[in-house]
Amino acid sequence: MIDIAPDITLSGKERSELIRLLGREPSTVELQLFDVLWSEHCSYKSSRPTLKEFLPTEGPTVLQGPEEDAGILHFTEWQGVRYGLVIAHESHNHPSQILPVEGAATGIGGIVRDVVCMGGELIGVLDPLRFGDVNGKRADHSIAIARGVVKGIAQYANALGVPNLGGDLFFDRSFDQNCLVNVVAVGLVEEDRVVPSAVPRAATGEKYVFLLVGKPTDSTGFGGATMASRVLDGEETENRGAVQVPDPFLKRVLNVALHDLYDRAQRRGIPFGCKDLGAGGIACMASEIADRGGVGVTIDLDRVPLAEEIPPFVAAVAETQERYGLALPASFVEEALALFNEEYDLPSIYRGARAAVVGEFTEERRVKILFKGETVCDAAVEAITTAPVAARVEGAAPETAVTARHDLPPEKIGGALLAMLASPNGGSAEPLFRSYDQEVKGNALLRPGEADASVILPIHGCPVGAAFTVDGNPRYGALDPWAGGAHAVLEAARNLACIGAAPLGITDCLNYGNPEDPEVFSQFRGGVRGLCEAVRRIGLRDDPGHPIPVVSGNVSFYNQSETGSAVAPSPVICMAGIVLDGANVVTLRLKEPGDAIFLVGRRRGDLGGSLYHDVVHGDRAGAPPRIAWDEETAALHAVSALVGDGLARACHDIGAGGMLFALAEMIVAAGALPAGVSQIAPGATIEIDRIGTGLSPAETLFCEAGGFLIEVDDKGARALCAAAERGGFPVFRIGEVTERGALEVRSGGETIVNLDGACLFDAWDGALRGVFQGV
Amino acid sequence: MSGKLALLIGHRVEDLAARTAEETIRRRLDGGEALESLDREEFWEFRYRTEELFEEKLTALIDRAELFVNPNKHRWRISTGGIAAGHEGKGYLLKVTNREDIDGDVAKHTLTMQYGFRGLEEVRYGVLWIIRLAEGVVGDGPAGDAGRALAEKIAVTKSRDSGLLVNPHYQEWSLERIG
Amino acid sequence: MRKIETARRGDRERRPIAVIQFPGVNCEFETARAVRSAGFAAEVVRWNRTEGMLEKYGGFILPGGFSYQDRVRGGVIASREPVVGIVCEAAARGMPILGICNGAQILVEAGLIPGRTDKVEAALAPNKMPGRTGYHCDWVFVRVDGGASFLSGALGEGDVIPLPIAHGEGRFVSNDAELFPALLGGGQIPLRYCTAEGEVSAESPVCPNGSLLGAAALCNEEGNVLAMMPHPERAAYLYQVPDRIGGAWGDRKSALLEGDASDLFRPGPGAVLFDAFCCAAAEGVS
Repeated sequence: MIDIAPDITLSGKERSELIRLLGREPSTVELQLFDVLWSEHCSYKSSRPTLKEFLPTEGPTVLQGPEEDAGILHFTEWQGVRYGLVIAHESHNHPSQILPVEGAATGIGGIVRDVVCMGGELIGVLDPLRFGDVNGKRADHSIAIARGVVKGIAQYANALGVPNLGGDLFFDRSFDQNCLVNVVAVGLVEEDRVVPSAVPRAATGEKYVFLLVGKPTDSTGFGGATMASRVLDGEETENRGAVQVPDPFLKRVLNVALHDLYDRAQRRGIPFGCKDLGAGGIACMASEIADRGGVGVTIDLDRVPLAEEIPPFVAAVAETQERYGLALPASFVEEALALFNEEYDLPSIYRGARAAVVGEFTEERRVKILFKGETVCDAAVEAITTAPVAARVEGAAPETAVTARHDLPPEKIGGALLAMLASPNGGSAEPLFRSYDQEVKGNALLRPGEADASVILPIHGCPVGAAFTVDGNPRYGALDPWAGGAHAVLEAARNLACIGAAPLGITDCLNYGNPEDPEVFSQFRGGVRGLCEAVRRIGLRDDPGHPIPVVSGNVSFYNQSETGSAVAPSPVICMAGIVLDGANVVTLRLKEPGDAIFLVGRRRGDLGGSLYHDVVHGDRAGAPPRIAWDEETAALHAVSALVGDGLARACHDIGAGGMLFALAEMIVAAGALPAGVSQIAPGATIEIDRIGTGLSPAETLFCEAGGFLIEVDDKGARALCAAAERGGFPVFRIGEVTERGALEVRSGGETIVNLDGACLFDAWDGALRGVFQGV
Repeated sequence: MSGKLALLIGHRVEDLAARTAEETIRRRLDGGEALESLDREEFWEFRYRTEELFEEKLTALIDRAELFVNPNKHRWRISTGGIAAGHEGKGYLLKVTNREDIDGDVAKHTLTMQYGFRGLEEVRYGVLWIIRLAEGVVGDGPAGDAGRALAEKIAVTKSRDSGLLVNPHYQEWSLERIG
Repeated sequence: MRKIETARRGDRERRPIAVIQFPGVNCEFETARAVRSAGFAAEVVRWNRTEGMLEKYGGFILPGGFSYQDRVRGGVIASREPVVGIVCEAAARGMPILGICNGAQILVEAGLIPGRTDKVEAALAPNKMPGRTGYHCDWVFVRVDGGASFLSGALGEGDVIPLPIAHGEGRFVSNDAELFPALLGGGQIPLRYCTAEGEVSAESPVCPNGSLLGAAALCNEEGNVLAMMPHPERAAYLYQVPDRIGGAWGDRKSALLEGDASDLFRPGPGAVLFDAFCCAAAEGVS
């Protein structure tokens, strides 16, 4: 048990500011509270000015921008009801490094609360993951963390009953001592039933009370926010207490009960507010919901259900999981208590869990916390909710080195492809897909692995699909922070285009090292600039002229190794999109022998930061692919429209790995059959001379410049060529789908690659089995 | 050097499985009213033949990795005197293992292949229930003692209203008197 | 098929189906939705609301999820709840009972499946698959041999249908070596894991969990109680079928993806199980 207040991390200047705000020395509770509130994790003190400067957060698709727990995007209207997609993104990097299973599980547990407290019905989670090198000198540790994280995500989300809608996976030695576990949660909400995280304005008329519901408060997760706001110092065991203890079972019951409560209150027109408890615990949650309602709050710690005896400064700010706070009118409270404590019987399914009134909202705009009759905190609401800003210095942008392109004789290209497919960053994520519940809720139209983005039909009977993808390539970020941000958005937009979705908006998670280091801070600024340039250049397909809005997100700093080297700059994007007609989506596997295969997008020999350079030549230097904005954005909108109109049979984007790798994936995707691999078919033959680049075969086939491979019939081919003409982007009819399940590449009248489908499949399928099998 | 040791894992915080089982037995099962308390430990038994300092190596691994123990939730101890050693008070120890112990096999594989444990011959995973009966139920007679019969009745699932802790169709069990 | 048409036309007074919501289950809403699509009313009913249930409902479904967090063993705590006593009573009256995944575990732990005596005669043990342990989510094929169950007549003998599974403990076993052969002989194994071509196997990867005789479902002797590990509610509509599985259903999905939006919500391979269940409910207590 924690009984001595731990050291606080406020700087001398921040401490003086606190004394000025309060007009006196702070109490222990106040010190702990402000320590959390003014931590980087909660206050965004280093990142806020940059985000405000660059990020477009408004537009025709936005219902709720970044100032709430989660953003909301307009989705569709069905039978007279307008629906929105609630979307939130969070990192749980440090906890997952320390305790992988629990850390990752509480990552899911935390992010889903943000969606549920807005009134959203959970419809999916996604998990962008970055782990250390599984073949390097810390391989054992990296593998243990990777396994633990996947297990934690699976255990929590599967039990909660929320399907996995995708993620991405990347292994690199820069994450050896600081993995990245980003988590996205998505919900569906009727737009006029969004739950505010504010005490309703009606509070001035009727008395509103503060109802706390969920797990009894304990000391678990005490200090979590401050842990996330500094460098891990190698003393991982000492930080374990700051990792919360997850319980998806209780969360499931709690969420069902909470939705029941929302429903009853909304049907009767009773205004209420709800907010989840995360960093800063009870004190922080109550202050924010009061502030947004323009009122104050008095919290009585003696009325808080506790799991154990804990001092007031712990009870006030501990991050105990599985709790929500509600602002309810006094006249509705008895019914709410009965709903949680009797109808859903929380106390008997989880010892100590219950709903309890722990305070009330007041006209006086102060946050008061009482403990055994004494006032242990008394501060103006504005003092608590005013976040500090930390001025950070931006260093000079690093020079981008340009390296030689590594060429390869044509006869070695097949071997290089197999090595890439068998590498951790090129292999199949099948072991993850089989560990996660992809099916629960029964909304799946395209699952992770079937296509470049997943699609669900969240409204029964309505053919409009919601599509999701997460992207970010740390190899690019490491070479050029700006390109890391820009390419993440481009890749995401291409992935949506492949299934015919139009982008609606973005939620991002920006992972960097120590922002006090000017070089790192310039990486962060560069990443945000790149991201913003891309969302503006690409824009909304169906509302030209508007940038793709960023409606929620997270910044995670202090991700670095014991020796102080920061992780590869890792802006991670989750892009949500809309599919107007679910019957027109396509999977990425090749389908009909005889169909044409088209390449969309120029090959220019960009090999810097490529999977090919990394795997085959061990070279990670160079410049990431240049971006031909006009051609690439025109192409991706045209492909999106073409697929959306039902004119493509298969579509896959060209990104990491290049064109040949993409084509191989379109063949091996047929192999992931439930009853084992019987045969891999169909296959493909392509003729690269038709591209006419003047590049060598290796430069053409492994170039990572953005593009697409599309399988079309004659009608689709005509439509694609016409679209290319209109849009001013190049397309090449490079080959066709073949009966035989093999990959053949021809150049100069010769076959330079001829690989059997089963051989491709085995390399790809086996890449990660060793990493993820075991305890 | 050959040896055998057990890693016993209990809960720091409330063990919800034990509490729920206890309440279910008391409220729903024949003979359940005689139950005084029910506790639970998970265990891993290791059998090895090695020159290495097995116990030291295992202890270091437990401290370092989240493999068997979550330090936020669990307390643990290593017993070289069998899993029954170190339990106080009067009652019965019910040892439950799965007939096909997949968890144990996988743990052996992981320890050997990934963490470099040599000479590991067998790893077994199971659950140890500590059944304490109300005063007066635990008789002192030898075989056929009423307490033992009652503990078995509570433990071994026969029907919906008899037995909870073991399903003999895939699990093995043994019952041992303590105190 | 004839029986189903009769049921769909059946009288409007028929009683709704109860989908029982134990704490921790997580498939209750989509299961109720699948029942409604079969043309029957369905209600999600909390586990602790047991009054008047026998009179009010025409059949009971125990949906998938993690009731009571799998404390002790999957399904065992829920199986001891009073509401399962009511389910037992309903079963004795001949009402149709369907347990899906965790619901199947509950029915086995309650002794309702295989139900030859009033004892617990079998178990759903942890999955056994080479090279991996624990929870496994994928699509599989099952072959229908309706036998004694209410599936008989609604599905053709030997029909092969794809369904998704998602479980860690789905291996039907018994320590009575004669039980499973006897169940097979008695028509009490209505669904068995098979290849896309319909060849039954108890071996991985065709059988995803090592279940005896490749059993994916068991029913009682009377055939009104069915416990199945696959999730038919996740295959109740055509859009849910992944095209990669091939076969007739994979082709139908591929055709859909070149077809019309109105086809998305047509019945999927799992829908027929709900049709059969509702049909049994419409026939009422025998």
